[in-house]
Amino acid sequence: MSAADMRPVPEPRTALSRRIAGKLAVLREHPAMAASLMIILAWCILIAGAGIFAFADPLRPDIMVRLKPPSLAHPFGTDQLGRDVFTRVLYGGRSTLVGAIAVVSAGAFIGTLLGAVAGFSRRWVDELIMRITDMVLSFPIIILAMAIAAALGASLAHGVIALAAAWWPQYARVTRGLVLELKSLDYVAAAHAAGRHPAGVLLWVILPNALPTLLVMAAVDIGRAILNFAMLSFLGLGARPPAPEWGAMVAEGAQVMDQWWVATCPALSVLTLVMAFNMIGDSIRDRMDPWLRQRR
Amino acid sequence: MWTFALRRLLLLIPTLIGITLVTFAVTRSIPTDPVIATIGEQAAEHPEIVAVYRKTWGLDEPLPIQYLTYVRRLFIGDMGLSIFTHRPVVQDLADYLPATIELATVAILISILFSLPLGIIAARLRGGLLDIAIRAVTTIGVSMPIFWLALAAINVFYFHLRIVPGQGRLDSGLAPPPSVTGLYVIDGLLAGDLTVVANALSHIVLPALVLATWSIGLLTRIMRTSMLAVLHQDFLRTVRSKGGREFYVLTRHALGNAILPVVTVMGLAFGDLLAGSVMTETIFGWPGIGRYAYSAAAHADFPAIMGVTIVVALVYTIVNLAVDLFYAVIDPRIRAAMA
Repeated sequence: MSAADMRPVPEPRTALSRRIAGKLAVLREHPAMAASLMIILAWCILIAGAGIFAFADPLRPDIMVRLKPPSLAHPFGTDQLGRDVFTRVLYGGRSTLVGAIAVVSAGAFIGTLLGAVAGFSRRWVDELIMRITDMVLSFPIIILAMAIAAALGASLAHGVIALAAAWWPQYARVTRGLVLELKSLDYVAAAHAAGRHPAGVLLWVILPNALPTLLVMAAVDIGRAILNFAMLSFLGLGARPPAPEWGAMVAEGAQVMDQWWVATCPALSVLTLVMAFNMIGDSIRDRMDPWLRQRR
Repeated sequence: MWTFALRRLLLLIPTLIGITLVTFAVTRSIPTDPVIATIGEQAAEHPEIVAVYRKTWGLDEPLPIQYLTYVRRLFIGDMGLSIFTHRPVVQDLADYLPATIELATVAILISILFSLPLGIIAARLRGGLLDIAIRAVTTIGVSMPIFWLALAAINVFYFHLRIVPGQGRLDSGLAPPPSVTGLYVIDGLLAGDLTVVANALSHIVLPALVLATWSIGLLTRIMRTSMLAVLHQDFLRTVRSKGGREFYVLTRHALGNAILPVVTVMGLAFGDLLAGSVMTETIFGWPGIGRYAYSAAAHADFPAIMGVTIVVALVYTIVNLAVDLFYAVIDPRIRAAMA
């Protein structure tokens, strides 16, 4: 045995760096996915650091500088009250993105819970939950959300509740499918045999294994939620002016379309962020589809 | 075929019950007093109106009875009075629904016209520049906030270029054609009045295009994926080796096998077009149920918005039923399985 063989093997580290390098290589192979991740990251930094990147007050009007086109002082111009559009886009992104994430989280939580119970329970409970799911699915999301938001009264929180109430069925369906698939596996049978409470088996044995799929689904879903949340706000049923929100800002800009920047800047913000989420979704779908992957 | 159609029609009944259950649940689970929400604050100040209302809708009865009353009144076409227009909601809907159906139908036709060729070309030239361009454009299409696109389109094509007419379904000087279907283009054709047809078409084209943006993107992507799955199959190689021209191979042999998923999504997309019409109609001043829903929401007109919800869910369900039946028409395998 030589001295070289006696050296401690720096294995875990190499493995880790190799794994990271492997992940990065995936990104190099999928430039669209890499670009999308960068766009989302950039938006998150801009939105989170709104106070650092934008120095104007998003709410204070300044009539002296109303409707000024984009310039160095106002990169996205100013609106009809002289507020800096760039500042409002950054702060508005908070409402839009947080609202969308809240919609998806709440919808995914309710849907996962109901779907898991349906997939794990007796036949009639399953039937009941899935029929309710189908009922809610027979409404286009935005129409049902409009009805609920109109009933609750317009506000940011009510907009989130209204959308979440229409959002959960797809998660219920997917979770039920996953649970049905997982519950026939050996380690689940083992957990049952070990005398675990059925609820414990569902919560700690089955659901953790369904989680990765659901998380991917939810992450990709945020784009659609942004679009719907902005739509609801545009219609005056989500965030209310003067609070900045991308959809509501487009609605405000609608009166001054010749000063294109007022409506177009928040609209392009919606477009870029939603596109980024959609492209990630496409990449993931392509990778999951064995036929497409093989043909790439 | 007919037994399948009948079975599918019978399945409509539980769906309809489901729709009414959901709308009833929304009506009853709101935190505000349903009386105030449905007759408006002005009317709620008169105790006699409130009393009559409570009696008509059985609000003093237990919930299941309330639901039955609700369904019975729906059945005879009573969705209550609109708080804003002071007319029966059913009457409002009957007036506005044809405009929306016309708009959504033209939009879905435009989507098919664009997305089938685009999807086929993208699949055939997979990985090429044209494919990448088509994919980029369709990704923008499905990510586009159409409320902004509608505003921008009006600003450019109406206010600046002046190449499209303004709001509404017809120029204000023209009288609508005698109503048969409520769709101006078709009614105009039936009446033989080509001026009205041309004018109605010129009014509908821009809102329909804007409305179709999203579904063009969606359908093109589905068409492309579905076509890709078919293109490498053996029977196409056989046709090619027999000397079939590429256009003939694609349209006569590949398309028929790739179209089923597209038809499914078309049905689902129709529902989204109805939902998207809220935005498009509001911005284009199109007198359909989308704009009606918007004004109802803006005025807290609860009966009206519930009416729209029910009607849209109904149309959505019926369209998807039609899609299911259409399968049997285009897929001989399904027809055989049903026989």
